[in-house]
Parts: sequence; C-alpha cells; structure tokens
Amino acid sequence: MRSPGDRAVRRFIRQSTTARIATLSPAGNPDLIPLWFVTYRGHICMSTRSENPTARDLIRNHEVVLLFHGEQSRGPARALRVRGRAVFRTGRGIGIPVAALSAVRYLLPPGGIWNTIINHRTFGVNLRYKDERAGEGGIIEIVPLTAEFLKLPS
Amino acid sequence: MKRTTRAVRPEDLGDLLEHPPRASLAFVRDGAIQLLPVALQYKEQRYLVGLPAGVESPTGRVKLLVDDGRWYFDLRGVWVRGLLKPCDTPAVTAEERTWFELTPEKVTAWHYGRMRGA
Repeated sequence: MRSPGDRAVRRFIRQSTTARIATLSPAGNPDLIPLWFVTYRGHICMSTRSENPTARDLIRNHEVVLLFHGEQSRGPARALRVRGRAVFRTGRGIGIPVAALSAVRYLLPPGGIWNTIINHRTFGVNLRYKDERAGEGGIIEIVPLTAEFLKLPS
Repeated sequence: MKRTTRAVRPEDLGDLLEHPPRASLAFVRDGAIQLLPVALQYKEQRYLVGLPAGVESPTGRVKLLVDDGRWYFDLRGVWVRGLLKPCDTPAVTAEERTWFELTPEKVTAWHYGRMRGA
C-alpha cells in the first residue's frame, strides 16, 4: 500500500487518460464507469451530470475505488488502484478550473484537435446529445486515501 | 425527450470484446465496493472472466467494464451487469487464474464516434 502522494503514484496517474470509478448503489449493487479526469489541488476530479448513477450513488455512500491503467506509460504493465472518498459538487467554484484543465488535457493537444477535425460532421448531433443529457452538470471530487499497484492479466 | 444516442449493440464492438485492451470488475464484499483488473475472454457471446488466483470468489451482482479510446470520438465501451458462476479454464494462460462465466442481466455498449439521431 502506498500513499497517494507517492511520486510513482502521482506519475502513474498523470500517465493515465481514463479512470474507472466504482461506487455502491443504494440497493447495494456495484456501479462502474470510465470517466476522463484531472487532478486539482491534490484531488481527482471528473465532470458528469447529477443524473448519472455514479453521481447519485455518492449521495448515500462516499466510498469509491478507482482503477488507472497508465495508458501513456512505457513501464511494466500494471494498474493502480486508488481508494478514496468522493462527493458530487455543482457550482462554478470547482467547475471552471476543472473544465479548463480538462480542455488542456483532452481537447487541445494535437491528437485531440485532430480527433475533432476528422469527426467534424458529428458536431451538430454531439451538441444535441450534450444538450439532452439529464441532470445538472457537476464534478465528482475524490480525496484519494490509499493507493496500490496491481499486476495486470497477461 | 432524447433525440440523440451514443448507444451501439454489444456485437458492434466485437473487436473490442474479443481483444480487450483492459477489463475491470466491480463487486461488493462485506458491504464495501471492490474493483479489480481482470482477464476477459469473449467467445460466442459468452463473457468468461479470469480473476487472480487467491481472490475470494465474488458473490452477488458484479459489473464488468471493457473500455477503450484516448480522444473524445474514439471513446467506446461495454459494461455487463450480472452474476458469476465458476467455469472451466477457457484457454492456456501464462498465469494461474480462477475463471467464471458472467451471466448477463443487462449489457450496455456505447461509441462516441457513432453518435446519431435516435
């Protein structure tokens, strides 16, 4: 078990592009989705909507488990499991910095711009999709508590 | 009313399921959420899940996630909710794993690059 502040842990999280977040539903079932994320003030932050089942789960149970796969890492194949406590927040206080960091990480790199250009024909339908999503926009903010590297299946 | 969707059929992502870059399994033990990287073999629409040896078999509902993609329009994935039951080892593997077949109750698949009017 490592501290979330461990240098190797922080580097591996930076090298990961998607986090898988597992939560417990009010009925006692597991929920699991992949989300983009950024780190902000030492916390892991993910944009989603209030009607997302994962965000709803956090109203009753704040415990989360995250799995990072270091997609951009050139090191040995391994995953990082992080346990933490999470809340779903709305409001500009956290929304604006997280949106800005997300744009820098996912939309503005050359790969992100190219991906947008080659899919320009779906702009309209993509905007409609975002407009139709249920619930209020917000941020899942996670305070990481423990971290451990896991061996990946070969 | 929703007019657009990113949903696809799971079989539309057959290449992802047959060659998953990564698979994750969430389950509940002693009232706490658990999450593991797992091996997945998808054969003839059967989901065979390999857990690391020594991991106690999950009971109750589980959720399997297979996802891929770096950029927005490349994001795609499948999640399967259901129950695990022990099965034979499906193939020769380099490491010892305990294998289960996941009987789906619900399967959802998506691909942001195939978003369209519903």
